[in-house]
Amino acid sequence: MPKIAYPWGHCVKWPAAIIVPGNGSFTVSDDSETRHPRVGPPCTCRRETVLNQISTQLTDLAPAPENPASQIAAWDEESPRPGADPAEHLVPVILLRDVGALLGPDRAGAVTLDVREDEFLCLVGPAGSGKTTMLRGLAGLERPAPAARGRNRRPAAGHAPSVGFMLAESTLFPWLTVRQNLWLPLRVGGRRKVDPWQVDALLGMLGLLEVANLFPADLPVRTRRLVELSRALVRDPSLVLIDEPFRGLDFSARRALADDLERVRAITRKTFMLFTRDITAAVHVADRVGVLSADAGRLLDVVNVALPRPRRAASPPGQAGVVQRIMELCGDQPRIAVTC
Amino acid sequence: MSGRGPLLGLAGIVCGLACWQGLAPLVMLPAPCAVVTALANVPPASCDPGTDQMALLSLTLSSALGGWLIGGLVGFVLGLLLVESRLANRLLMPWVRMPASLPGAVAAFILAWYAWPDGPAALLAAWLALFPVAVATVAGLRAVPPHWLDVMRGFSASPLETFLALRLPAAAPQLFAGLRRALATALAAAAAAGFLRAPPSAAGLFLLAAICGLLHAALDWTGRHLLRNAAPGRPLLR
Repeated sequence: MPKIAYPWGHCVKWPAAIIVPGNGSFTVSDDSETRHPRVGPPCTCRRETVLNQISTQLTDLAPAPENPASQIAAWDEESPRPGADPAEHLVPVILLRDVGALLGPDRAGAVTLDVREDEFLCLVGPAGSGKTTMLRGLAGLERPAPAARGRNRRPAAGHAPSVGFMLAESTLFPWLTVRQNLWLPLRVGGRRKVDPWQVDALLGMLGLLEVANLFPADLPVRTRRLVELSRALVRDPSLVLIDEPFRGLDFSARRALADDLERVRAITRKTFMLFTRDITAAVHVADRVGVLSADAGRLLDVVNVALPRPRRAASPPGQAGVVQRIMELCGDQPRIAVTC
Repeated sequence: MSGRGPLLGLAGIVCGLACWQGLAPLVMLPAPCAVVTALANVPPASCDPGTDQMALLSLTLSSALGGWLIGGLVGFVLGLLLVESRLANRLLMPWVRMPASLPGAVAAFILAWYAWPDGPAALLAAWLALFPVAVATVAGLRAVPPHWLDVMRGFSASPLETFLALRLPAAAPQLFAGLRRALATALAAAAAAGFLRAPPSAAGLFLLAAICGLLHAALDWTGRHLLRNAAPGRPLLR
């Protein structure tokens, strides 16, 4: 699969981020400059250039839906061998150490996990397994629960710029259009010089240009979630965290949103971490699925999902088997939501 | 509905006036026809400015609007202080609770204390307009969903940016509701103050009511068009 450059010249080969929570501190170090120098010229976007690049990239990437075979060929040059770890050849870029420390001092050392470059990692677990807390910690919204209580319990000032996140709640501002919602992250936080075409390029790549001038209330839930995801992507983060995106969707909309996630991942080639309770959807999108236990912050196992991509429309053979295996893993957790 | 709304409203007003005309002998107020005749017969420039109904009306209106603007502004700043600063909250909250329940009867005292003609009415209007706006500001700013604030924090937005981009627009519907309430209060206060100064006439009252209705409609229209996308269940103000 050829790497796709954003039209505004950012690299898509992600900078490495190393995330090590512990000792009450929580840092995201981004050594992108040393490992992956930015490629391409700095942004010299004009409308025509951007739209041309979008159209070429879209034809490269997403051929007409009535021709799924070519789509598979385009997306799936690195289709994994059956049974192989699909992310085997990828280097770990994000080292999660003691993420359980976010949940409380007694949970220190609980979840330790390497997230690999360009990987789609899902963490499934029942309610109360600490998914949201982990996400908020990784996003910089919360510090680890400190051993020493007191004044430093206040939340972190802001997340590292290389992490984008999408919360479980609907967070699009209803008084802004889709395009204005995507402008917002580019205009705050000390950023002044914004190329408006940056947003349109992203919207075009994700197929959202038609709804760019609509308000969130006019969109179906699934499209709203997709817009939220693109807002998480608009600052070009190296790691994208997604919390429970399937909440409030019926079965077919879940499938469709999972397809969307797969498509966005194929287009942007970012590292995704998705936290959900929906095992079927997790298996649909993930390269690996981590199973969390009901008692907060214990990682039971990590299951490789070696299924061919794209997994849209019909379930690929073998999906049921993986779902079955994950369900067995959390067999002693009756609270887990299963939709299959 | 939106197309027929104004027409139906007009029809309602006409029906109400007709009922009033029919029932006029039973109530204390003169019939609308008598009011219109009286308005038509107002001398262009009355010799006594103290009893000139038109001058009184304009005085009442200007003091109501001035008081509303000043009270609204001060109320907004007060609400902001109450939300932003815990110290200000502790210090000012008793004061906010106490005078908000001041009865309109203090108008007489205020009128007696201050000598200059239109000052007291505006002062009273501002005083009574201040609290609805302050309370609405506090309620609006406190009601911003926390995950929206999380999103702004994720963008590492400064407090000022968060305020301008998120908290102010999110609080705007409540703020507008407070401003509407404050306008009604300010008009009532200014009218009461005017009555204490000179005996009211039915014609003046009638005009004042009509102008009140127009002002409310104008404020409604502004709010509806400013806030038409403020929440999922739009339009927000009905």
